[in-house]
Amino acid sequence: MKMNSKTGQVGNAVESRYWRSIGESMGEVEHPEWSDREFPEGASELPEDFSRRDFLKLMGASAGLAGAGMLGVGCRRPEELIVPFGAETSEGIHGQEYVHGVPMYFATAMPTRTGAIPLLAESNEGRPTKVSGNADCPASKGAANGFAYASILNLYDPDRARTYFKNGKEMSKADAVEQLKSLAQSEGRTAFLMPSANSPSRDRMIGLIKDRMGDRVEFYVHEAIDFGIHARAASKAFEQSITPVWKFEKAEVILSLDCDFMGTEEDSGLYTCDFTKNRKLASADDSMNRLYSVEGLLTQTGANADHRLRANASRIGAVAVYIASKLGVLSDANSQKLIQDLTQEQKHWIDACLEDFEANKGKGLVVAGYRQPEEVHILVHHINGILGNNGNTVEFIPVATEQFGTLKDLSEDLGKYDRVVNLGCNPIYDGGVDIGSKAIVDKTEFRLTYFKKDESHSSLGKPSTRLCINAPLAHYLESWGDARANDGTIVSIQPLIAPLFDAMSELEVLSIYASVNPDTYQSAYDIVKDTFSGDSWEHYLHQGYQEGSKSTPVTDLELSQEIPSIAYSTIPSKSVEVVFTRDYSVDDGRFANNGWCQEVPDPITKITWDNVMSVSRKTAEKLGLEHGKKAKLTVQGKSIEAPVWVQPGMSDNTVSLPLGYGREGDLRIANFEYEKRPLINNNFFGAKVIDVGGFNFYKLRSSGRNLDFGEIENTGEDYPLSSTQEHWSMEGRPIVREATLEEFRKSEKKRAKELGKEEYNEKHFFPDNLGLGSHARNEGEIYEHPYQERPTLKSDVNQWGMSIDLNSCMGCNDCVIACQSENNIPIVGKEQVANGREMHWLRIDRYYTGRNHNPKEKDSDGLPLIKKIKDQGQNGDDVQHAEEWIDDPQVVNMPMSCVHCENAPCESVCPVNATVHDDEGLNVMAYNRCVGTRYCSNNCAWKVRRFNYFDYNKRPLENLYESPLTKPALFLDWLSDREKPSKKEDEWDLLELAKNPQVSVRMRGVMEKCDYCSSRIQAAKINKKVKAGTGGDVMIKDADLKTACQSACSADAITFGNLLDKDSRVVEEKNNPRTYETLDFLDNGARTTYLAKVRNPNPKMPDSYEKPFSTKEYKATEGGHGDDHGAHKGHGHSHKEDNH
Amino acid sequence: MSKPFAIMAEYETPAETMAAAKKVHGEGYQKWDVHSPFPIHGMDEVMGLDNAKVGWFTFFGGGDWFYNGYGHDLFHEQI
Amino acid sequence: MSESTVQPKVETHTPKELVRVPLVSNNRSFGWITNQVAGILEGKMPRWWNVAFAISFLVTMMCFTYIGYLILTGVGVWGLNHPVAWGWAIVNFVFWIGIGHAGTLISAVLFLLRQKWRTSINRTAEAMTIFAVICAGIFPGIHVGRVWFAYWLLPIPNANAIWPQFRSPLLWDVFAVSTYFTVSLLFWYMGLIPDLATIRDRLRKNASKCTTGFEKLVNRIKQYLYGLFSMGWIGSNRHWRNYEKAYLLLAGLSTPLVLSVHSIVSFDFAVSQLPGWHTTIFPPYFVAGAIFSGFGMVLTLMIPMRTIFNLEDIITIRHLELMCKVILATGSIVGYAYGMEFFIAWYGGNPYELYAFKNRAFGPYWWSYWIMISCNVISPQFFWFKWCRTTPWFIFIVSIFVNIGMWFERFVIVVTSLHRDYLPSSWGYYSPTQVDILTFVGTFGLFMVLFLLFVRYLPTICIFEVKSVTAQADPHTKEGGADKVEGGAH
Repeated sequence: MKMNSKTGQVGNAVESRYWRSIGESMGEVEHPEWSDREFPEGASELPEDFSRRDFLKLMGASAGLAGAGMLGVGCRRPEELIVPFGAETSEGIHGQEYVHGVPMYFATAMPTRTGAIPLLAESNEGRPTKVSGNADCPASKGAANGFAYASILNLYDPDRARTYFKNGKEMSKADAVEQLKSLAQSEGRTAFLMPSANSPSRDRMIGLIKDRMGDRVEFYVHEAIDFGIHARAASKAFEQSITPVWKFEKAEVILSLDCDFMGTEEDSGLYTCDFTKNRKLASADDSMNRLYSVEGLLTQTGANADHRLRANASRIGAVAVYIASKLGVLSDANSQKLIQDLTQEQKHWIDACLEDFEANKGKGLVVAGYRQPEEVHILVHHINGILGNNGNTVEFIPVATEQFGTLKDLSEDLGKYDRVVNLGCNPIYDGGVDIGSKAIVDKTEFRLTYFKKDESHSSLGKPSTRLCINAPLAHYLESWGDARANDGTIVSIQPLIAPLFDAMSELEVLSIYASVNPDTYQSAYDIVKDTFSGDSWEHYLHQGYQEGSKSTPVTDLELSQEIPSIAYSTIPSKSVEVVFTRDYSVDDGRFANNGWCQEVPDPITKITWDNVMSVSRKTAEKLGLEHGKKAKLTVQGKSIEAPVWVQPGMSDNTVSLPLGYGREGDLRIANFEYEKRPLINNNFFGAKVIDVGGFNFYKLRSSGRNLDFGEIENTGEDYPLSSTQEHWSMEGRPIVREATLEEFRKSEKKRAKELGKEEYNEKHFFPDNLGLGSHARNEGEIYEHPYQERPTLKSDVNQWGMSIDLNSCMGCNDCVIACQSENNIPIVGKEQVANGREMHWLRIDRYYTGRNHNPKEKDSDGLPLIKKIKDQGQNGDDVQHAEEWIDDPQVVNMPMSCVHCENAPCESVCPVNATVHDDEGLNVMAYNRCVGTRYCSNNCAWKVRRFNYFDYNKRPLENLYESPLTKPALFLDWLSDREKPSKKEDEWDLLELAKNPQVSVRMRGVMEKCDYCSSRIQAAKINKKVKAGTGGDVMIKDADLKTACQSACSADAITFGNLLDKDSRVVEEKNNPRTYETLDFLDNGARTTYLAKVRNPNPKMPDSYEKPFSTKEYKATEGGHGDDHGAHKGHGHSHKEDNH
Repeated sequence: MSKPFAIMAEYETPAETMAAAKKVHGEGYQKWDVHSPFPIHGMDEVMGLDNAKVGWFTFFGGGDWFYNGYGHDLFHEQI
Repeated sequence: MSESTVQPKVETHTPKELVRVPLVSNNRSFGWITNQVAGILEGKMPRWWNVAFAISFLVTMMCFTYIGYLILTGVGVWGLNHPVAWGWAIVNFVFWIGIGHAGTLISAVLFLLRQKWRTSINRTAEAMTIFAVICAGIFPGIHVGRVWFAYWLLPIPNANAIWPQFRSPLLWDVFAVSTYFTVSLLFWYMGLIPDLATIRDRLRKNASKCTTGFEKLVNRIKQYLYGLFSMGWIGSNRHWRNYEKAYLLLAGLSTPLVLSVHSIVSFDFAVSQLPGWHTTIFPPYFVAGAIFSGFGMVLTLMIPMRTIFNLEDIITIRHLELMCKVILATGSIVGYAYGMEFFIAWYGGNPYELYAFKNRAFGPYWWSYWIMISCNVISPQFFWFKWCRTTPWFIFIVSIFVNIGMWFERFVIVVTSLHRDYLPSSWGYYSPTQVDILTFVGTFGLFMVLFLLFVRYLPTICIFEVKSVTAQADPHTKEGGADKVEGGAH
């Protein structure tokens, strides 16, 4: 905002605690008059010629006033100049001017452990409401991830620390800063404990502190999930301080060794973006990369691999050694011993895979994941070296040489220090069982903490034990900072809002320590500005990154000759290997108190609000574990009871332990509890309180260890799990359609040859709708097409459509969270998810398909291969987890939201005209008109409509079943104010701020669903009209509009646009030969179509396949008279012609 | 001796009632009636009563309904 | 050759005379019929009535409490979820509407078909219809998310001039059910008028027997009310002439309703595109099922009633037997429809459809399907045997099975079709909550409250119609006095 930067009025005007009205914040002097009057001028009396414009102005002002009443959470803009995103002209930067009611955008970045995700944050009336990737930033190409999209909710977390306190007493920030200053000046040795970051300013501050304090200070970095392994291993392998940057877009063949680069690795968004660039097939000539994955858990990367080899996580090293030995690197005795443990099948698999790599020298890429030990990473650098990949598909950029100690080091060195300053770590929770975290906490004298009452609270809050200053930690959207992104580009972290609770940032604390005279310490803003070395500060802020700051890749790469040997380990008999992993939903626990993250289903298990111990079917059978029931896991003498989940695709004898759950502080989402009410659950034997925090596997983990061994035994105790998708199989239905690359190419060549011939069916190689496509079309339409009925209703300017590329979609859920953030979608809590009432407008369906999943096939004993045990699984489903085909499945993902049918079945059954068609092809919901018969949902074949069974927005999730009838207090509340929410006030105030004002918030009893981001469409149309002026150029082009999911998709799998714009990408995609419509035989005319998935198997691989498993299943299904119907299809096609 | 207001006779069975009614009708009386706890079939004829008017009421009632339900669409210009 | 010729042996026997079983047995007189029926409401209600009423009333109050809780809290207190957005509420609605079918069928269709045996049961059947429709009407009203706007389903253009959508079967339901209710009520009331007059007259006669002032007051009030509602009925033949014509026309008008109501209710399902719902067989199959369930409920109510109030001579075994035959016929139609659904699902070659039906029989809800089959298709087959048709306690048991089976039929249709439809990703499972169950139980309370009040205050059997089908009401029979008249009546 160019808020009177020349006059400098901004600072003065905004010094008041609350941001009161637009005029005021703009430095105009209107308010003295207002403060005398009870209402703003015109509020009570309407002037003669009162126009609509006046009215809106007035409303705007009143809304501003209303904001002032907010309970201690006033929104203020940051005091310093912040630069909004907008056009840049020769005259300088023209940030977007503030217009009330129109959102503004600012470039900023979310810091991560090894860098940052460049973002564009949307601000409405001074409060950030949404973030998306900064597409202009070359370091990320617009890629971000779900954590970034969800981080907005962390800003408004009601459990955030709100006050400074010491010795149980609250104090002001000024007092706390004074005390910190004296702490900084006092004698004695100080240890800093910090989370990992990659920030030039922070590095500079650390340098300054070291200069000032010399050996009286030491810095330790603690991260429960350590991504520093990549830099450490590369630095060791090449004997220089470098870190690898993978270039998936350049790789033709990729081998992932337990590396979940599309999911749990840092920068997964960017890597997904790069990886999927080579999977957007449009013609037979297009090339496509091939992904091999060797892993123990089923990860998102493995789920999307063309070939996947199940191997224990502890045996990945042996796989790497085998490859290396094949390439002639290793041949020592230890290696031979390791290799011996591999099975023949595994060896064949690797051999064939390696052949592919040797044929693609310099175009291959082998990556190892963070869970693997350093030795494996070093070996992988050697393998890449031999295969000619280093410098081509993997680049190395320099990193700061500074190496910090770990938490374990601090724990060992603790005696050397007089005090610890903790800049945001929570070792009590995630430190690990071998760390004396309590001792560290006891020595802490200053602590930044994000949560009011997290795990450390009990030890810190007691007045007798500690005199630690507790300071609230600022969110990145409220603090100044900078960071180096993936390729070294320096990105700015620009606040959008002054700290809500006067919170402090890490840089502020460091600056107090860095200043020789602490009274003149620098503000974070000044630190970042001083660190900045580019030409234009404003330009930097405006763009969000410093141009040309990208690190030059190191070309002088020489591998160290010394290859550390990989320790031989084998799973002890009767034991299982346990793998600690970063959770897809809550990271290492930092997002555990974020409702969106808790409720987003795990991309693999589809479980919400919980973590589970995933095991393979065989392991469960062997060890007597039961799906969905608790088992006791003992690792190194510590044990925990947690539910077991039989996960398809897991390697045998492996248990995955996602970290980040089971928090013990007073956190309302992370420790969300609900009462199982007898009234509702027919649990007549008394109410039972269910703890929904998940399970804390840190209690089994030694610091920094990702692999361990343990014993597991069934306890048989039930545990309720809430999964959003009960059924795993596609039942042979052609919902996700697939083909192999070979099939695709063949068909495309045939198509080119036969194009124009009458009988030819252009999509014949993808499974058709079980032969229905040809029949149904002849029957005529079930519903009258509204546009055929009255063609004049159809807009000839814009017609919306969407295309989703299933070959690019990796099922990461980022779009789900972006949609939730954009459209004010409430969370419903674990109990309601279990009841099947999650509200996500957009969901990702995940199906498993099995090589042997053929209902008719018999095994050697003549028994059906699929065991059908009825009515025993969760929610009455078949016992799919006992079926053999799940052992080594293929996985498909399918984002599913309203497909905006032209002959929408929902519309014709709504008795009150609440869901109707608009002239641009949207199937829209008039929430105000909806009475909630739910008929539309029943008639929707895609089941994408979501009903507000309760007032999720206003009512506390744990009390959804309370009403004025069961709780007299609520009745009195209701009498006094019928609009009053029963959510806790602190929560309500903050959650209100997170809402997108462009989208209405729905009440109970109302149906809702995806509306293709109608609000964005309207905004784009208005903008376009304003721009067009009297000209007629009002057609929306690709550049004018993106839906929230589309802009969130790092893989660029979602394309939305104007079907009437012939140059639009969506039109291009709809002409792609892979395009198909789900359930097309219903003739609903879906506006969202899909691009079929194409797999790229290597025919030389032992596990190669001619057709995707789903195609086989489809053919095996009784209804799918697929092949013999091929002949009829031409017939169906020609009839279709007749109809026109 | 005052003039009788009316004459009433009671019969045991429908047949007897009917026979009496036939006679009364035959005598040409105008203001008379037969009361019975249930409808006696054939009595209308015996009493010389013609068809009830209920049918016409029903017909015109139905016509009114039809006009209100469909007439606006059929006979008037569409709005 | 002998002269003797072989004479064919002629067996002479008198052919058996086919005697119609009289509709009122034991040759009861008019006075007996009136006393027997009017005696029920004139006498003091037995203790069981008070107990039953108290229980039913409490159950009704529970129902309304749960409805209040539902409205104040949200539809979420039921067990509904995303694939299964309709559950018990709609099941119960269709169930009650189905029960409400027998009344009009008995009173209108059987009337037009000159089935005189209807006279003993039509009053109670019509009352049952009205009460069942009241119970049914509760559910569509409360199942919507925002009950306070449920009136938007009525064709009232609101401030924004938005009409309801006439393409939606839910709207047709509103019309169909409200028309049906109105006509049934009119029909019932019309049938009551002569009997109300009878009660009124008997009250006047009994006034002298009142001893206390209170009794006299009650008698006066009753006289006034019965008098008011009997609309000056004096049993004049001129009244009867108009009355019978009106009754005939009303019967003619309401006959299409017998078919329309449940056809339209079936459109709620048949018009959708859901496998398992989207079938053309639904309208006739629903109508047959409704008649089936209606007769089941009539029997459930009649069998105890005839015993308790000693009405065996009016509601004879023959009546029961005839009703059993209707149940057998309609039950078999329903069974045929079940079979045909499967056949068409297979023959139609639509795998989604076929799956839906297989899933009904063998999926997670297999038990509900087999309860339905055994209650609806198998249990009525007993009625092929005369003993089964003529043994009241046995009929009673089967009628209970019919009621259960028909509830499950609606459950099977609504829930099993919804819980697994096109995309396996959205498959789910539905189980009711306590609120679902007890609200439904509560509607039985409401039904019983209404029915007990009906028994208490209104003649449960159509006195004048029963009289009119006896032999002594016919002027052409001996009992009707034909022999006392010269030349007989013509």
